[in-house]
Amino acid sequence: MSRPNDYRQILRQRNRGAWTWALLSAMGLNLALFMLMPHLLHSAPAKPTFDTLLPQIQVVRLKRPESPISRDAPRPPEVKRQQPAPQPDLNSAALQRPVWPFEINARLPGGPDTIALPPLETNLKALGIGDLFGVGDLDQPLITLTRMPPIYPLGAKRRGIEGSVTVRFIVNEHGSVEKTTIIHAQPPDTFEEAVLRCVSGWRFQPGTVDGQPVRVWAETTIHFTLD
Amino acid sequence: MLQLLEQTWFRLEAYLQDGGVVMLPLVLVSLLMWVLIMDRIFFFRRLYRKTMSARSAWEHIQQQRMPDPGEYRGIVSLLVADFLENRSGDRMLDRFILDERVQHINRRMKDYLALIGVLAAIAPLLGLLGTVTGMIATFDVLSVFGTGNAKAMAGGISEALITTQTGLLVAIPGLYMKGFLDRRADNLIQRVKTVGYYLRRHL
Repeated sequence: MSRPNDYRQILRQRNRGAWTWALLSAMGLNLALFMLMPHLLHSAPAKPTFDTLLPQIQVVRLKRPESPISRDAPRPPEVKRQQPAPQPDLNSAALQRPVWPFEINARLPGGPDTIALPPLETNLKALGIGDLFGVGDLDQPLITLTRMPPIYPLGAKRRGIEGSVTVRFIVNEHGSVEKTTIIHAQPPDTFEEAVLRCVSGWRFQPGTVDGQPVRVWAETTIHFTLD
Repeated sequence: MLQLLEQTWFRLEAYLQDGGVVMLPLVLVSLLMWVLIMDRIFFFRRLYRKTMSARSAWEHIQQQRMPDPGEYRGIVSLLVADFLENRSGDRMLDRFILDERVQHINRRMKDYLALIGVLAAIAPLLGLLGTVTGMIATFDVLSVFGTGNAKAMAGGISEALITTQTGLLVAIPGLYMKGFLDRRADNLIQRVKTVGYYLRRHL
């Protein structure tokens, strides 16, 4: 009865460290595996750059407090020089004006009023002449935001009619289309309705002159071709 | 040498950080899987070496002699020892007992192998999870900053790719070892069965 126990015991003793060995070897293997993984990426290691950068940053930090002090020192005298300088000038100009009586003064009474041009410009704008711009006057060409293609009229499609329509319209400050007019249609009375319907749905980025959105008139030709 | 090791360690840390939260379960899965694999390797290696021939197994049973642990440590000697401990003396019953012992030992050969397979299969799925979370992080950045902030987007994308890579690198050797261990286990089972049939014929 003792012998079988011996055999089992001996085997068990030999197997005692099995799990610890397995654990240790597995940890070693994992460490090796995971340490090799980053080397699959070809990114440069970041640590050496940090090491070289850190002292440089510290040097810069040491320099910073020195420079403001040196800047602050010369500033006050400059300010002091500037402040007294304009004050006497203004005073002297104010004092000098009455001192110089010009003969020409009498001849130029309305001079300053005519030189001022702004009222004239506003007058032109108010008249509406400068209101409408051509595409060429804009800062940049008109940019289309949505441009739906026209629906090919069914009757024309059935009869195999092709043609083109030239249309003129105004793009207002908000970028939508106004006052669409047909200039030329070939053949007449076939495509006009489709064109009017689709053009009114177009949207543009508002045209600008000197950064101000303005009304722009534009002209385009739409061709109707059967594939 | 030490500097190189330190640098590698630093890169490993950065790698794990880039991978995000999913790296933790991935590392744990990898560790558990390899512990089981190493245990099974040692276990099978012990049973492979110093095995007993069918003839000497029959001699041991005839003489009611336990195998010497110094000489025989293989799987056949385990069967012999098991049988000698449990035999009844009745011939017909002994045959059934032998069959039962063979089954018992064979079942033990398959221990943990299924778990190793599951762990190896889980690793790429965890990588996939990391990919999804990484892409979600990327799109979160996209929704806030638009496509302009490439640097912030790169964080999410690197998370996605690193976890996928890690998952695959854990799974590939794991699946290979699973196949290797399966082969070993089948081999041992075959041995036990052969000896079992031989002994059954002689009983």
